[in-house]
Amino acid sequence: MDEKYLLETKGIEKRFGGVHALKGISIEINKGEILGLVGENGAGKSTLIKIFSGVIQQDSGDIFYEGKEKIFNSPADSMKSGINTVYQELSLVKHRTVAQNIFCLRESTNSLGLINWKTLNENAKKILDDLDVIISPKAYVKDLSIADQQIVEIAKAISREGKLLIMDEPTSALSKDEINQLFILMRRLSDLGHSILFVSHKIEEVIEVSDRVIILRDGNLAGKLSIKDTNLSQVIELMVGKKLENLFPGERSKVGKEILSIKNFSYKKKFKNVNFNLSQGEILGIFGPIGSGRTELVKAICGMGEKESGDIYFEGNKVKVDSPAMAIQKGIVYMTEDRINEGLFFKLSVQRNLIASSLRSFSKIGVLLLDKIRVLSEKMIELLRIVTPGIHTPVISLSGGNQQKVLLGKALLTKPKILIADEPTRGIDVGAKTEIYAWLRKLASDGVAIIMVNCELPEIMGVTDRLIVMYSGEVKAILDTNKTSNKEVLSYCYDSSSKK
Amino acid sequence: MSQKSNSIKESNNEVNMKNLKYFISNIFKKREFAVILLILIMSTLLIFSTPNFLNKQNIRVLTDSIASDMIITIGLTFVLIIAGIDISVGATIGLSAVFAAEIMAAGESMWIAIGAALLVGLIIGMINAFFIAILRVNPLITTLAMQVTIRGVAIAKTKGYLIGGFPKEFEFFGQGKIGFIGTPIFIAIVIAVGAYLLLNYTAFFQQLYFIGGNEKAAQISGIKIQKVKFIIYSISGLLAGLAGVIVLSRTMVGTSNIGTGAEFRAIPAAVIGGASLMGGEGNIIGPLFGVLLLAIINDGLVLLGVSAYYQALCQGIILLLAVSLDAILHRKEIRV
Repeated sequence: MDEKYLLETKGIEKRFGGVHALKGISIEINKGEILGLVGENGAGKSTLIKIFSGVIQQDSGDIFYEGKEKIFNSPADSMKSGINTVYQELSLVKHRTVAQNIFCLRESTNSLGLINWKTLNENAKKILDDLDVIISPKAYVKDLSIADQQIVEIAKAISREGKLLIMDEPTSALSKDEINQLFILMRRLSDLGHSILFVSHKIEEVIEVSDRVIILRDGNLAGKLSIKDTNLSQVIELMVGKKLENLFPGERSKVGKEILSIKNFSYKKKFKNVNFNLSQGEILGIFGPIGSGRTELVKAICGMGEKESGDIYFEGNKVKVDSPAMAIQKGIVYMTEDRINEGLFFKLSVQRNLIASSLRSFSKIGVLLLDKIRVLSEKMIELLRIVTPGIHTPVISLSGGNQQKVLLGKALLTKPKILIADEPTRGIDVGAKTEIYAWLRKLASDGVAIIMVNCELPEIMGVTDRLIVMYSGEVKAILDTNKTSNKEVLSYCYDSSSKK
Repeated sequence: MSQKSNSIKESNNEVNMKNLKYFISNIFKKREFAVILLILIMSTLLIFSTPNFLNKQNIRVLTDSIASDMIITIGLTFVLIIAGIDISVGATIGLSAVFAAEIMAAGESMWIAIGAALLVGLIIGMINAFFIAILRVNPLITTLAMQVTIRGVAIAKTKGYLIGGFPKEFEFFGQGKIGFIGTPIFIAIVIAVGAYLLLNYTAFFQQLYFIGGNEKAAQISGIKIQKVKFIIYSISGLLAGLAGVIVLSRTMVGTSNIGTGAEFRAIPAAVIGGASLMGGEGNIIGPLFGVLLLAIINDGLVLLGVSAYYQALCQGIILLLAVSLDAILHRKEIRV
């Protein structure tokens, strides 16, 4: 075999039951290159990286690693060969410190076999300093923001002596500055001879940082291009198989009467004195960086978080919402940003997941209406175009975008009057994003009031009617989306006094 | 027009065929199938190796003796589905039996005694529920502490004495017959049918799967977790109280050690029958066949002349095997 490749695959095939996930994929990863991997959800990206990281094994086809034929039998096997993976879902132990997480199971010990905490913390600090981030090695992971946790995860992966670093959506929770820092670091690693397989839904980012890009579509290799010779629209075209006309739904819906009014909402330092109104048929965006209090605010509205003071007026009446159950009963439904931990029931079937929030409407005097459940579940699968072998398939075997659609379907079946969608397109591909946005707009046209929390400016500008800009717990501005600009929105997002 | 309806019919047929295929392929995947197969194999072996297995007396003893285990296994299966555990059921059987025995020994009517036994079971269940659902104490530790406490109350009440002298009619619940089957197994089957219907056809019990599947997601989906948990642990206690009545009626002697170790039969039975310690799955039929399987194994050991001194040893091994099976079958689910 030609030794110039670090890793080469020939005709990799993988099936999951009826799903043909990978159809003869032949790719190669050069030494020291940053290789982008893009594709819609269900295209086979995750399957491919799971094979490289030893989580699953291919059905047929060969992998050559450093010139030798190799099958990665387990994650440990893959790691031993020098392949480290940073997953989209964080795998940190929350109640341990940053240093303990970075050196998990590889703690430096003294001659007695006891852990040398001082060295451990110093080594962790060295790695974090290399990353140019300010995170204390002694901080507990649970106290860090999601962005910082992501950085710790990356630090953990690069702290191992590796040859190939696989990054699965590493930027999905990072701010623009943090992403730039990450890219600088990636290039430095590549200069040092590390190969990086960079998986992302954000094609702009892939193009910005990669040397080459591999495009998967429906389990096929749709393209293998050098970044020098391609551009954004070509990659997108290869990825979706057609030209994308409009990412965002065009028409605005007719705004009806006011349905929700939030007055003087405050909770500790998370959010302060928040006031806003929401009308039927309107999509209201809440934009702000991580830590701005956006998620805490909407959770408090849905009875999930805490608040110290403030009132909710719903359909003109002052109401108390103490629990998600009460909120749903009123027609206020929260679609979580974290589908893995608090959104879906992975072991349970698609059908069960869909009906989880609306058991009441699917039963009569407590008895389940099984026919109604089946018919409406099937209808929802068809409407939202959820790709699944059947209604009884566990959601764990669905791709990320389809899982997100199940989450949306679960919310829709409650027939919400107010839908609060927290990062509804987190970690899903362009095609599925477009579909979800189209759905939000359609719901708005049907008179549902929608609050969408998002940290992607183009998305929030493309979808919403009005938008609230939050920064460190305060509402900085409420803007009419049509009459504002990216620049104006961003100008509210930085605290001038704290600028470095 | 007719052509159209024809094609609809055809596609309906196709769907039916598909459903049938799905149904058949699923039967073989179902845990019940494996358990029933094991029961058949065990029974066949015992029929050929001991003359007494098919003996009417043996069958009657076998069915009567599994009734109380079936009843507590039903409650425990509910608890396992919500990813909980209840190891206080054996002790609950004991204390409710002691209460019933003392009441009857004092000359009160057996109905009052039965009512008291059920109430004792329910109250114990509610105490468990209070600690687990409201205070959020770990269920294993809560019910372990309760197990010791309840057994302690039973010992303190009886001071080691045996309690007897119950009305003759009380024998009906443990030794009588309804039609051609024994009362205990009749009661167990009625409860099993009820539990099956509740679990599969009611919205309330559907919530158990959500809680066991992902508690946080269940809460955000609007499920009242504390309420559901409270009710489920209470049901588990109530059913153990009922099992106490049946066991007492079979022995007709009240002692403080009635029901000892019952949970160590119920837990493996439920797990072998498809419930999981990780929650979110399980049904009623599988666990009940699990009880039958374990009883046949136990019966077989007795018939084959294995000393009773080895019973605890066997129980321990079976529990370990069952939970290992559970862990192995769920290994794939652990996400990287």
